[in-house]
Amino acid sequence: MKYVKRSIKKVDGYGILSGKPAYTDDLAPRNSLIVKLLRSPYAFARVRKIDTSEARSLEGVECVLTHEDFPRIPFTRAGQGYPEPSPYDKFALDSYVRYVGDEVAVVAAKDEQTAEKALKLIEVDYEVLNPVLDFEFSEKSPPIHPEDGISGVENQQNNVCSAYEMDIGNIEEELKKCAHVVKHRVYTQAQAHVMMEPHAAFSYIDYQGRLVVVTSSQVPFHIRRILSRVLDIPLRNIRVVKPRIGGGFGGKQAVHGEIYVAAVTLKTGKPSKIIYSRKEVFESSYTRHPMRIDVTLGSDEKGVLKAIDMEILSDTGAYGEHALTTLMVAGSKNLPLYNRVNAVRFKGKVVYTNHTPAGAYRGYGAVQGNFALESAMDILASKLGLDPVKLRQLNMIREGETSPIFKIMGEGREGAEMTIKSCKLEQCVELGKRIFGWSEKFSKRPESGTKVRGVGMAIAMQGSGIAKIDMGSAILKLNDDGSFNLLVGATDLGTGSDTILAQIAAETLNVPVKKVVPYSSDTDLTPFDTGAYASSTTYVSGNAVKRAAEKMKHLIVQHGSKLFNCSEEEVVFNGEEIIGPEQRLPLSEFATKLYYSENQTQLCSTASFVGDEAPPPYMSAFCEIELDTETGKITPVRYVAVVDCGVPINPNLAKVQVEGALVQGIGMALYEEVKYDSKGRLMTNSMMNYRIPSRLDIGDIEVHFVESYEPTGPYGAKSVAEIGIDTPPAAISNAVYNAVGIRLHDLPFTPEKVLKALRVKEGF
Amino acid sequence: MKITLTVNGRKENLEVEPSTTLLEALRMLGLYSVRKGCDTASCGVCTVLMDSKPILSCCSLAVQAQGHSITTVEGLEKDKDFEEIRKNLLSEGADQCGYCGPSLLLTVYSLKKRNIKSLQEIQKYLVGNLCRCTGYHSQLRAIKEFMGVGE
Amino acid sequence: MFKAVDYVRPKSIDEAHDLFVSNTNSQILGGGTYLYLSKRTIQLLIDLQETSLKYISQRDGKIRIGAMSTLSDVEESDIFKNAFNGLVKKVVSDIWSYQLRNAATVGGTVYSRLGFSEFLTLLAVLDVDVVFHNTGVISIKDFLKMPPLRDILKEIVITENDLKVSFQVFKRTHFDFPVLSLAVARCDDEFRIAVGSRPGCALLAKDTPKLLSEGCRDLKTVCDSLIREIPFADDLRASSEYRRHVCGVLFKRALSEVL
Repeated sequence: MKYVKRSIKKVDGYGILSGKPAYTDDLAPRNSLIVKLLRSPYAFARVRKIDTSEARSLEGVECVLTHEDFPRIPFTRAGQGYPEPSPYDKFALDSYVRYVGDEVAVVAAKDEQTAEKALKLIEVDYEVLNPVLDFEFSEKSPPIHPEDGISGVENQQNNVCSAYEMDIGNIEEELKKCAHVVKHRVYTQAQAHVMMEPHAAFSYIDYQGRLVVVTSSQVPFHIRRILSRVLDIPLRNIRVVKPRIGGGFGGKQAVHGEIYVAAVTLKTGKPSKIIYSRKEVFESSYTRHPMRIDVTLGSDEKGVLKAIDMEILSDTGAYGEHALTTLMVAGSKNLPLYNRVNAVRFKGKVVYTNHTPAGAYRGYGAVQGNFALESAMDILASKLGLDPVKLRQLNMIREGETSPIFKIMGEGREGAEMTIKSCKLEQCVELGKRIFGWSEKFSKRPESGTKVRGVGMAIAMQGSGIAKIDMGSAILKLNDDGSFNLLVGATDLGTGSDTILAQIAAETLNVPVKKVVPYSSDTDLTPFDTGAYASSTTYVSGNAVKRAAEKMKHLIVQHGSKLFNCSEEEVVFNGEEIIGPEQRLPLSEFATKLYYSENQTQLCSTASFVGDEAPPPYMSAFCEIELDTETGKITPVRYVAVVDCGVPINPNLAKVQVEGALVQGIGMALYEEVKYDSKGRLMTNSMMNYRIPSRLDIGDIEVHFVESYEPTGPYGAKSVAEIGIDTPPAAISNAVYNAVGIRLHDLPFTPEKVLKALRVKEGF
Repeated sequence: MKITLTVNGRKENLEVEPSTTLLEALRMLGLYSVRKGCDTASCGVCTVLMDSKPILSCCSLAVQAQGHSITTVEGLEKDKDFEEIRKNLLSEGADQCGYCGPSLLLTVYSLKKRNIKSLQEIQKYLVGNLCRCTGYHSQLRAIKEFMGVGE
Repeated sequence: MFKAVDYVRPKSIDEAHDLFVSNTNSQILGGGTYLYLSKRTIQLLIDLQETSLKYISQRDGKIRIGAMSTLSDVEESDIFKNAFNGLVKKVVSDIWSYQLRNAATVGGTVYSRLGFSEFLTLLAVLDVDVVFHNTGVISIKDFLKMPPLRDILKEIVITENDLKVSFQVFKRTHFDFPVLSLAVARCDDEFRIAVGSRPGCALLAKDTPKLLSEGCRDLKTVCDSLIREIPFADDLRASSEYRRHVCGVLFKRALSEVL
């Protein structure tokens, strides 16, 4: 392979590092109205009356909107394939506010100062209601969504947003027969994405009278559809463009401020923009779903797993975006790891609370589920007196195998059957074990002294897109100089998808990568793509690109044969030249002729791809931590990760994805504490108080790859975007147990919590 | 009030309020490499060089910066050191979303000018440059090579 | 960011002081690295950067730091490379971030007596005088107990001596405010103990130094005494209970360095 498996530089890297205007706020028209949102100070309230007259009459204010100005159309903000597996429980603006930070009114003014002033002039008469702040009591509390006209909610009265269950075999019977049964409960927190660029969007009416929305979003096509629904305007009159984005991690897989800027632009006819403050990103975008997960494992005397039972209670906050799907992924992307059991049961509920809504976040339930399952596996290993690695080796899924869960559990619906065609998990475990020095470290006697070291491990799997649902497409067009424009709907969040898709096209066409010019994520100019989530870009969009490139090759041969007046079989295109029986033409000359002189035709190919399966990437993780037993502080020392993502299209970029995800997982495990006060206000709502890992907080991280070949993937590739985040909570918890014999089960493992657990163990 | 700022070697005239931040002023001048990441001086994304030292432009005032020399990456286009560190970052794929890129480049560039040789010290000086995409290791690989330091 | 109506750069500290006291809603601007969090309206912002207060000098056994010296100036100065065995340099170099230290001033740090200030915890146990333009010289010990002064802090003066000093800090991550900071200084039988980030700012202990002076070396006794006499509170970073515990740990570690 010439262009695939090459660590070429990102095509946009140079420009971005040079500071070229590329992000949403850089591109917004200078005369944009500044849009600010009045947000609820209460966790739960009804807006009895809202008086915007003073705000409206303030000089410089162009527009003030309340719930009375929007058609009452329920929708989901979730950026998912239609029909979305999330309830339609949100209105653009509503007479109920359901969390501190929920939108109450929209102000558009000539500058930020005026807009801020206007916000203060809006008078709202709230009927303050009692908020539901503990998800373990949501079902016994009065409804947060008592209103009519919403749909897709499992049980409005009981605050149950979604529910799901499935079972295979007879779990109770199997567990009875097991020699060893372990139970474990974990709690995970509402982790914040903290992407470096806050949410941003601007809109304007173009000279055709169409609404153009430029937004920092992972899902431009879903945004277009949602805007059409919510604002009640035809989809064809909306164009959504994604410029460069400063990170997303799932936090931009939904509609956020776009509705409001669009509404303002439609009302005033003027360009308008909204840039979220960091506080708004924390309080009023999304978080990860906090979950309580109970796992029961049953095995025989040797440690062969016979039964797994997983039960989840998930907190979706005020609205149900991504609720059902994250619940299901917690199971579907973990349970198949141990596919040879006789019985599996999975059930869960997602409940509403008056917290900041939870939504999509890298890992998407898999990391929460992994924490529960991989901790429980270690408990079992300990009970059996088995090396944790051995226990995984006895039970983990292997190439050529399958699991009934693949067919039963998709995302929000049934899934798709899949036999694992590429899985080097065994090798990942072996290699990781060796590089890390696991056997020697694990068998070391626990030390005395105040600083103790421990080692732990975990394995994980994820997916490559959503089978039968996620569709990506690509258009290739030949230019008269022999270069190609590659138009893809796929969304580059900084991950480098533009680059790797160009690499795939280049490989297929056999032309240098620099001859493929990617342009992405513009609903007018690029073909459909569900967007950047579910680890879909490399696998789904990549396959579409490969197909489009193959079609283009054929078109070139076809037109070459016309030009040379021979049959297609006699023509060869080798990337540089079109070679006939008697002639050969360099591609650029061929293209020039084709544009200007003979049989003039624009060569353009298009292709789409939907996966029949979502082949999982796999990984093993080995970590060493140091625990200060006097303060409870856990310091990561070393993290070795070995990943099978098929063939890495760009090894550097694949590596950076995993490294970045690991650090986010370490943050989730150790540092990222979320605190609400008793009235439901998010207290950790700034980067000053919510600490993501700095470069000194993570120890050494080594990422290695074991290549497998996924036959259904482009050049053997699977996706790699999410899997890196899955293992740190479990691996670190397991390492702590190895060090000091306490089982941490409540994220994050702050020094204070660890110290408490240590003292409990010592009998205090 | 009218002020004059010296930015990237040029004198720029601006109309600002006393509480206009340096970040806002620089973006008014079209220097979009200077970005806002947080509200609380906690991320480093808004870093610019003032008299060759990295500062946070989000909590500095434009009026404070009068009389000083401000540098952003736009002003370093022809600088060999800058070109080199940028090339290194790109080669490592350490420019993911790129949002924190210019601020990191400026800080590393200032350390190179100071000839800091210890890796530990470099990491410490960079602690205020947060990144959520890369996990820091690819950045470190690029920076080690650029600064010519070992372990 | 606060809203400022007017901005001025006086050319002398006299001028600055006159402006400051004659305008009740005026504010002294040092680096502005904490002030920017305020949302109030300030009538007159007085920027001291041209009042010649940016210096660090060493003479006759005293180190004088002008109020407009940045924390970085302290960190990089040759004087502090050696003074107190490099401890002041080390403590300052761990504060927040390099970018912040390049702007935050010593004057702003000391004057504002913010709870999280590690620098203040260390200064509290050294022989430090805080010098105000009008009020004159105040010992750090007295300064820490006073109500806010409407005066301009000109410089701090640190007397160099043979104090044996230990500084301990506990942070959840490397880039964070402390959960607790603690400093112990010893000269023969005289002890000084300061605890900061409680979350309140540096507080000098009274009873525990006496115990140590009297010869008590029983760790449990002195730790219990310190935890008893220093008030702690809950905040986002830690509970008071945890702070009490960490205080004991840090104190033990500090004592092992000075005893």
